[in-house]
Amino acid sequence: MMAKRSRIFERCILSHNLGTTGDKAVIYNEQGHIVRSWLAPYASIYSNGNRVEQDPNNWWSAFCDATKNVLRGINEKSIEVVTFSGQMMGCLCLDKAGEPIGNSIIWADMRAEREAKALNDVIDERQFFRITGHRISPSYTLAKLLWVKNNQPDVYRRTAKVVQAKDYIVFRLTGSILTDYTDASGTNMFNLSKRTWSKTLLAITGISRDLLPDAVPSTEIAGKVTMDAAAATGLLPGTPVVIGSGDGLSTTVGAGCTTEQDAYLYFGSSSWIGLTKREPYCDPALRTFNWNHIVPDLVGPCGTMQAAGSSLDWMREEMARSETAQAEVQGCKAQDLIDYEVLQSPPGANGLLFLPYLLGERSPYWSPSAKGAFLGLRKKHSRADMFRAAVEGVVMNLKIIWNIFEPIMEAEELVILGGQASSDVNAQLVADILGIRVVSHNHLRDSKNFGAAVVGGIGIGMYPGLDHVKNLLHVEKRFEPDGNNTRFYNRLLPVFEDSFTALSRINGRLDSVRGACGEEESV
Amino acid sequence: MKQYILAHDLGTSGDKATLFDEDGVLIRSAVAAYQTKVFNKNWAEQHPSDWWDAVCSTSRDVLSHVDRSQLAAVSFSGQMMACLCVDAHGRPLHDAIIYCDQRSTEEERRMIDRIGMKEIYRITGHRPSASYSLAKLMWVREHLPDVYRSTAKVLQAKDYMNFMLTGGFFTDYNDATGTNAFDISKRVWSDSVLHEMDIPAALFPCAVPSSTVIGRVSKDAALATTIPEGTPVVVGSGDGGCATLGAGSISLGKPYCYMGSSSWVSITSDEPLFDDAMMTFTWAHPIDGLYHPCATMQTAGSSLSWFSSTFMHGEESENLEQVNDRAAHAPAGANGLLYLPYLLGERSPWWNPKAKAGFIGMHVNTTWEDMCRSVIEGIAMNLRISLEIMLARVPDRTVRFIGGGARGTTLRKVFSDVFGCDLLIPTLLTEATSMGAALLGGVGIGLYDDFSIVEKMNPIKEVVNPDVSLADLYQRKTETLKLAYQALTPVFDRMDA
Repeated sequence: MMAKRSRIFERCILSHNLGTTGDKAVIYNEQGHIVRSWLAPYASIYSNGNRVEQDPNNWWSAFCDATKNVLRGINEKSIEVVTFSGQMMGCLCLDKAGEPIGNSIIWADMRAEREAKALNDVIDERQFFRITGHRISPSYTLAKLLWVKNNQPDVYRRTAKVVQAKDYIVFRLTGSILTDYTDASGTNMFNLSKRTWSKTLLAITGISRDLLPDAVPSTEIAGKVTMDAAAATGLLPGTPVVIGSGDGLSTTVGAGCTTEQDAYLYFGSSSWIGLTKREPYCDPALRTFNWNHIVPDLVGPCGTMQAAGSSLDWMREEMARSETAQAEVQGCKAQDLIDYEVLQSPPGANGLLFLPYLLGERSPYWSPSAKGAFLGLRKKHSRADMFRAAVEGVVMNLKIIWNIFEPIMEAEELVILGGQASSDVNAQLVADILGIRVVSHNHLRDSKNFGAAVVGGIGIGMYPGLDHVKNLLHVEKRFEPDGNNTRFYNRLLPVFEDSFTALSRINGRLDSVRGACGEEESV
Repeated sequence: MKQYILAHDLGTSGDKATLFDEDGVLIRSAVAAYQTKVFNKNWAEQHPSDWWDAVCSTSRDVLSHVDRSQLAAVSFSGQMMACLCVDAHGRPLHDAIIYCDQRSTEEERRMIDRIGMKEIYRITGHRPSASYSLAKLMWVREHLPDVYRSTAKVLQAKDYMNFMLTGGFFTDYNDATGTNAFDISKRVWSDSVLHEMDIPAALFPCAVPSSTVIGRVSKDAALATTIPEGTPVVVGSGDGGCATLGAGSISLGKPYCYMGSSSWVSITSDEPLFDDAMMTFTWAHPIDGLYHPCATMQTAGSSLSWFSSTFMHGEESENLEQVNDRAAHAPAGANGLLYLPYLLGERSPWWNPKAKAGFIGMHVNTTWEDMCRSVIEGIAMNLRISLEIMLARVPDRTVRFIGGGARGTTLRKVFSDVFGCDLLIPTLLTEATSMGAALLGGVGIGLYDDFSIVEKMNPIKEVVNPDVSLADLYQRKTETLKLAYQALTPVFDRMDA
């Protein structure tokens, strides 16, 4: 039946990426070219300094809105599959009827520090890491769910299932409650090697297996679009829905990172270095972690820093207001003006350092109270130095992560993608600081949607397998490292690391001097 | 018939002549600029003849508008800590090596090795430093032996002007305490320091109280300056001392804060202040028998200028107003953002040329407004560390606030809150040094009964009260500033490598 449809219309894939700021829908044709795209934003609700929630009903309305709009002018019969990439590590409690009980606590929320600590007391962290591929952290679903259990017992009692963003939308589309291996591996409750919910951890925490949806491979067809969902979205009833993956792994696919010889760096609001391996990687200091992969017997070792593009966005909004105003006058992007300034300053920004911990940090420090800093300011420093120091600081932190992977690194070039990667200045700095050739592809900005589309295509048999993604990608730009610069940054790195260590105790104290209205204020 | 006092302020960038009348009313002022030759990275010199030319032209300027026969006295405020070598005829043998010149670090080390840091601090009231005259003179001996051999006297800027006017070699106690060669307690040139460094005490001029009449204007000088021949010349004092008078710190206690490019806090006391960490230092007060312990930070106003000129595009004064305005929109504590104000290393409280500035504690919710506020808070907290040492010794809980940087309304509020003190804002903020020189002139010739006329000359116009509810917050944040500096000290060292 599918084959019949595809004779009449171009075969297309509708790929959704449920990100932190909105749902982006992209329609791809079989060759992986973008046919049309639409972004429907939704809001995050911040409170108490470290709490971040989203309303799942907003996800659904954004999903409907994006779907209807992206389908305008396109025959809905050409959509052979709907597929997903989604934000990970959230905690959304659904009742028996599948109704959300309140908002979803999203990945960025750090309220569950106490729960994470309590877990650390009852289980050896290395054993925990061996099971899940992750360290214990308030970033993950488990600590958040335990927070709900401890602080909102009524909610916890009514909870029938705990799901991730894409799982909820798949449920609304098809009526089946499932998750996939990759998203399951972001809950801190999933056994990485066995690909089942960890009996040990569920026993320790007293969480019932029934609360967790069955986990399936990312390429699995979860079901078909129901009549109700069709009415709400404009999709044809019966359209196959592939469950898809968490955005960490859709990016892995979008980067063409399919073999042990591949590596990529995603440079968006957050940033990570991701690999594809047969065995999980256990850093002795547990600074990096492992996801389950699109292909079930592979894993994705990964190290994620919290505030990469977020640091640079912050800098643009707060310290580069004049560039932003000028960009409007000149009709260009503020980023371009900042890039020019970055180039005015030499490597090392004349001795100025920037610590990029504006959202605390995951890899490499796993410190929620870490803070950002400019260090080493002298009167001679200009804004160009400050802008350069900021980009260098972000990339030097990535260099620490890069060094952690050194024992298993087989890649000879690094694929770079994400919004910040479209700046040549940033890409060259990555090449110089990491000391490796950097390449960017034709799906640099839409990597998550593109990766999800490939997963969807595999799911319905349009593509033979994961390796096919390489046929759809081609290199657009190459950045060779400058050996002198690399050596320079290698010398600078220990000073960069030591300055974080020096401040690690100060940062905690600074939380207590936020000021009278600091606590109540939030974005 | 009215009588006038002509007060000169020989600063770093030029000479300002100001005419005051017998009631202390400011009649007229004139400015003439001169250059500083900065070279070899941290060397800084000025031509003494440029000083004289400036004094001649500003004197002519202000005197051309009044009846010169009514001029009762001339007096000086001057930049301190210099080394100007002159021969027996008072002829300069070399350009003046001025206070900010740092060439003599080797000599500084020798002073520490031979006598000891603590010992020199105890004797002179100051740490041994390349900033002061003695190390500079030792450098001259080492590197310019011909100059040294011909040197009859080592003078400060105002002392050379006094010589040009009267033909006599004098300095005052206040300027003498900026040489690292003066025994501050005994108020004589220090035998022990000079002997150990093998410098004859005779190279230094006779030191007298700052209000002493040291001579009268000579015929030649009268021709050059249009100051009537025979006008009494009062020796005056260093600019720090004059600012102390102009700020109204004329009796025990009376803390004040001067806010210019650099900034200091100071009090008046009857003995030198020796603190264990040697954070503060002490000058002889221009009022004979008193002292003014002091703590100077390097980049106060210049932190604000750097910050505003780095991030803003308007005129400096507009920018600073903007910074004040934006800072008012951030909460006290600047959302946990901490600014370390060490753009040029630091003198008080840390005495570390390798110290560096920074912003610490940024998070995604940190705003531009927080940054503006944190800069002001950082300067105030850094001053507070030294101020606490002084306030521990006096009952006063009010601080007089002068200098060009004392204008911003948010800045005043923040300083008051951080200090936990009432800030007294006088009418004239930038004329304090000239006024101090005029006071010395007027008191020196008996035109003013005593120094208390300063209260009429520069009355308090505004009092800023601290918000007591913020005391705890700023106490903790100041503590955090100290800890952050200490934690980063090794990192600062490595950043230079």
